[in-house]
Amino acid sequence: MNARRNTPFLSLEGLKLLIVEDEPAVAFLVEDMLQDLGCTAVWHASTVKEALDILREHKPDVAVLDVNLRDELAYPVAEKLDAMEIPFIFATGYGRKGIPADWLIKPVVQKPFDAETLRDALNIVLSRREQADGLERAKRDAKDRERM
Amino acid sequence: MTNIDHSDSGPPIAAISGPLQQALRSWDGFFEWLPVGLYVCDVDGNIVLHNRRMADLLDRAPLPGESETAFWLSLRSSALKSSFASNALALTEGPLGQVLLSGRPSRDRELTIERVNGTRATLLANLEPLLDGGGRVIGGVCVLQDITRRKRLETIRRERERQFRDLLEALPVALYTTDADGNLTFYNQAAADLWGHEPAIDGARWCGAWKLYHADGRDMRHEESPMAVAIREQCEIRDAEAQLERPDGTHVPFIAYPTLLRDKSGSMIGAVNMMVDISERKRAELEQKTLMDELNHRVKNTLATVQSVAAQTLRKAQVPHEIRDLFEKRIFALSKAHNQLSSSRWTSADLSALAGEILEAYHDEEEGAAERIVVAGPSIHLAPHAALTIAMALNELATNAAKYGALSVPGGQVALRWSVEGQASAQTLVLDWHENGGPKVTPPKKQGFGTRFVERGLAQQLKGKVELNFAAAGLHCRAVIPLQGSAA
Repeated sequence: MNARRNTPFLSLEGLKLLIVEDEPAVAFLVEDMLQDLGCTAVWHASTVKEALDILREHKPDVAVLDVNLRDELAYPVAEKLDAMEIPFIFATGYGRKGIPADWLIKPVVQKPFDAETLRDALNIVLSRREQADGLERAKRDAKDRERM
Repeated sequence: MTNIDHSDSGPPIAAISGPLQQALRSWDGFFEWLPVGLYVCDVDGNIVLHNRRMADLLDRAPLPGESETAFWLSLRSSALKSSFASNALALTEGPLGQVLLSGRPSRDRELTIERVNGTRATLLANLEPLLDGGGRVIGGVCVLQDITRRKRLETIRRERERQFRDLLEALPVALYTTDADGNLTFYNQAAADLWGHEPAIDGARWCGAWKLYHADGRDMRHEESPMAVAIREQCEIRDAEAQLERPDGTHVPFIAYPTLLRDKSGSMIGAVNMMVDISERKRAELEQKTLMDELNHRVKNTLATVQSVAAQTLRKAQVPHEIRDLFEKRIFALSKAHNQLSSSRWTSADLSALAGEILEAYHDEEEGAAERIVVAGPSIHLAPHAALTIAMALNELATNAAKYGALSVPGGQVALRWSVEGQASAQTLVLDWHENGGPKVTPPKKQGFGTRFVERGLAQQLKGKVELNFAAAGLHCRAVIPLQGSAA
């Protein structure tokens, strides 16, 4: 719990978000929670295909992924998101135990969860991206300096 | 080879004298005393000399000048067998025949004979050609020893060993034996089936498996195998779980039971290892776990759906956020009790862990949580229904404390303590919730869900007694719950 305080708080204001979730009621809940947190546009997919179709057209800022979508697992979407460098978290009834070790680097929120837990998990991936961007920027700056 | 020099009157005898010297100087006398049957043939294969023991062994004395072949065939020829290792051949001529032809000795030849009187015997024959000074064959000598008894014992021993091996072979468990250095000496068909191949007895050491792994999947060298450890440490090993890989790539989890074999004096002469294939059990465990995971997942999804439906409904009805939050916390208390139960496969939940998870949501991050909420009591495993009820009750108490009680102001404290009292079947769990340092307590005018659940729900569900005391200094709740039915 102390980790919460140590995570720099990043605003979700204006972020565009993708929800991949096959239970409509749960999708609405996540949508409401995120709207309360300031996210603006939201795409909703309930199958892997729908999610991949959305990702072909759009580039969300962040995504929330349910793992079990009826008869399929959401990992192809996770791979696509990773390839597009879009930060995302898993939301699943299984909790961390149900996620393969390869993916445990991503935050996992266990259903049911509250808005605070969701916000904290999103904050973790967004701040990681910030750090990565910062690192990229630092590298670029260093290169620029070399050129000068 | 023996060269006979007839010019000599006998063997050199220096240090003896008297009657013994006399007896030994007589060639015939010496012959008769030998404890073996013996006869000599000339180069044409006629028996020229034999001793009494030879006639005794074969129950017939050769006629003067009788050919060796005629003599042997006059025994029951149909039953006359000469065995070289495992090949038994009928004799078509006297044993010396080949020796006289080849001029080479023949050692330790076993002959099975049937005498004229019908009795049988096994004889050990040693055959030697007799050569003159120029190396030409001039005759042959045959020495016969009766090894019937030894053979019979050997046969019995072999038969017993065969029966024992047949028994091991027929056992439906995989087992193998090794010598004291761990070299394989035997394995049965079930072991070969388990290993997926038939290792060569020469060269296989410690275990005949192609590849071995620890139960957690790490590589296991053969000298780390349970059998190797048992032999090296001189101890028996039970329930050692490992995995083997067959040459076809399939993996088999198994349990090994290596046991040392000792001789009469107690020194280790080898070991026997029994291997039990536990893939069925593993598969069933995995299936049960998958089923359990699926169930837990569904329960969680259902709780999330209930949370969502309620949130949508309450939002629409413009119910204050506070109330929605209260509802959500109740759902989460149920969810947390499920977490504890699912991690034990729905057998029980540990009260400390359960209380910790429920009360964590009420920790004030700005102040030291440890000082504000104290949870203390012995380890106790609650049955599923007791875990759910107590989780809900603790959540209600904590919610109340956060809203009106000790957790609503800085510096207020809550202590949850429990103990187990009484003996055997009359044991009770005594749970104490004590608040202090909060605002002055006034009893509620109306009974809400929280107090109702704590006072009545807890008492009814768990057949216990609950006292809720709204003391001015701080709320005190004491629940006495019979453990029978509530503990796991």
